[in-house]
Amino acid sequence: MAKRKKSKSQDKSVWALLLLGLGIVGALAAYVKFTPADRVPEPMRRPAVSSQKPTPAAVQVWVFTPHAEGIDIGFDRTHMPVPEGVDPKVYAANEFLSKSKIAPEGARLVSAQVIEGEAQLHFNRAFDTTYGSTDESALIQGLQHTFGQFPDIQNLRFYVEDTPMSTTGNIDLSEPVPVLR
Amino acid sequence: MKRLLLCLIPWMVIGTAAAGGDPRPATVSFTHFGSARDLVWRVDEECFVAPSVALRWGWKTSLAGETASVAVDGRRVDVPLARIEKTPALPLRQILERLGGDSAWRTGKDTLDVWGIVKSATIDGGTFTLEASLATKPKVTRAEDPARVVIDLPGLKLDAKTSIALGPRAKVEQRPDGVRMILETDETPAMVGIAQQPARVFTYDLRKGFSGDLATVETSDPASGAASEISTTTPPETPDPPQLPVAGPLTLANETKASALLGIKLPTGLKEAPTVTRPEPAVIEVLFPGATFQGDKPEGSTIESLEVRPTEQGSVLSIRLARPMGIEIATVSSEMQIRLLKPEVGNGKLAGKVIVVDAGHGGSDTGARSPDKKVAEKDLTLPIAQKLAQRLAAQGATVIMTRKTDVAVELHSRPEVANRNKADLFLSVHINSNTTGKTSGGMTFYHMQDPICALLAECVQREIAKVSGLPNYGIRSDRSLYQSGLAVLRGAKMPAILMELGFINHPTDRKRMLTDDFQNAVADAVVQGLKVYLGDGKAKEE
Repeated sequence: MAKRKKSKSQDKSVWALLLLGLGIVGALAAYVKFTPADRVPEPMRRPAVSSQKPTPAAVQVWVFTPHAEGIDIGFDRTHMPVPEGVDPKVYAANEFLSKSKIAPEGARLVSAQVIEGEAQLHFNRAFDTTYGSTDESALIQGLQHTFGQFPDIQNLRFYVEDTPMSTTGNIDLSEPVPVLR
Repeated sequence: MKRLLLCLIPWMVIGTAAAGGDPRPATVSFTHFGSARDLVWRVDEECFVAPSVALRWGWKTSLAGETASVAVDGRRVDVPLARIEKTPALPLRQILERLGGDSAWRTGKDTLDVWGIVKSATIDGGTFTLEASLATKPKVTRAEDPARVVIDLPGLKLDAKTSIALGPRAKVEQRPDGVRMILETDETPAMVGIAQQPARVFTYDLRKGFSGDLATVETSDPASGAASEISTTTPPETPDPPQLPVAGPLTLANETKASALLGIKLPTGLKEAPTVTRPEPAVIEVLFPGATFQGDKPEGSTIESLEVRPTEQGSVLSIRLARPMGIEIATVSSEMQIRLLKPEVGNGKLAGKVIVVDAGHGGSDTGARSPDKKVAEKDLTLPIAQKLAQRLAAQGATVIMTRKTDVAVELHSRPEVANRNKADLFLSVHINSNTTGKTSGGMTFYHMQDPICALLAECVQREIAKVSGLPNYGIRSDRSLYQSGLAVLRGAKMPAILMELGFINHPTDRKRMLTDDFQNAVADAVVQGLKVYLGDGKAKEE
């Protein structure tokens, strides 16, 4: 008998918890729905997953191109729209690679996965080569600038396919490479 | 009482960290000054430095009980004083935070990188002004096509709070080793120079710059209250009355086997900063624009002779040293300080030295390649390194090569060979490439701002330039390429340099570098440069 009583009170508790949970979820949804956008915290404003296709005008990136300043390298940048369905980070990097002409033809960034501020850059096999120090510096700096435009990235890690890269000739890439902003 | 206790908490934390923590030797890479290794410690996340280290950055410390008062560029910061290994120590990161500087420990290393933050870069009424939280030393160059002035400020960073208000003809950009300002002009400015006076605030008169004949860069040093100016091609105005300010005397202090400190008293009427050049590895020249110098050779064995000669710009003090030495320059109040760092050269002979010769790249690591892919860097570095090794061995040196055949060698293991064998010197042979420009010529890199490595690079590059037949770009810090420098130089625990002998993608360079004549001449030149560095037989320069 005592056991039955205890079981009923447990059922009531479960129902109460469920209702409370639903209430919180509902309140949160109402808050996001009805609160003006500028009062919603930044992380909640970004849709995590969207089935809607992004409008082409909404996504633009800076594309960097190197130019010679004596023996130094400087960078120009132009705003470019990202083609539909393309990762803006991958697009910006590949545009830099093709415009700079430093990396071999066909060298491409395949994906850029960001985990806790670190972008893991997976390049194809053609990227896996070594350079003279000026070219290498221009290549790495160009990528540092390119990824520096994305606020969620602080550091870069270089991979060829899934193998970590240790260098592109003279620079130690086994450590995280900070972006340049 | 409660308030008193609350005030004491930060002091107690510092005291506990220093006394009860686990201080371990650390390195500080401080803006444009480069690395300091002695009397630097890490305790958890704080970095402690002795006041003598801070003095090298122009920071003056006065101690009062358990508090240190640090004067930096006209500002004063009071911090709790710690004691490590019985030495007074300042909490560097705490001071930097108060000054608005930035610092970060390198991942997995006990090396603290210190940066000044650019607070603002503006153009207002024809004047470009840049203000930073820490002082730095600008390097000013002119460039053509389009005509522009390029001002490099090593050790500075832009951040989210930097206020930038520039017109379309000026820009500020972040580079690995600092900040670069580029100011477009209508014609090539008749100015090129290097400011030796570190400062926090820099101004550039665009109207003068645009006129093309009076381009000057002014630096102001709040610590001394004196304004200084980079050298221009226009002669200084004749002072009225004609009595020129007098710099001097020259003092020599703290003379040891490893270093010495030169002090030059600067006059109050000096309106331009003195500039320091090194016309020869063992000669330092100080130009006092619009001023003269009076003083005698101080007692001691570091300085061989002094000479003063008048020029259109002002008097030049020429200091001949007993042998080539590294230099670090700082201005503290009204005194210019030149720290002389004497390289450890043993008996000063090449014979008996252990030298690691590193032929860059190898095996599957081809390095740079010619546009037609027929010539690879690895195939040029090996014969040059072999020729160099033969010549060094003939002089009696013990030579270790990181590779003798066409094999790949890990980047990290190259300096490791030198460290393991306790080598005296590490020499890395490389060929450059620059797809972006049509550059021709050679240069030698040293690590960060290490004055001894810079001296070694200077000695060797000067000799290479005499024989290579290619343009000479002199010596450069590897920080100009990448913020942590080149891997082989960073890993070497002894004086180390990386020689870039020419550009493989430039037809003239490539043709020349493939010849036996070039390879033999360069190998001879490197040997001669090492002799100059070591003071071996007082190797004569042409």
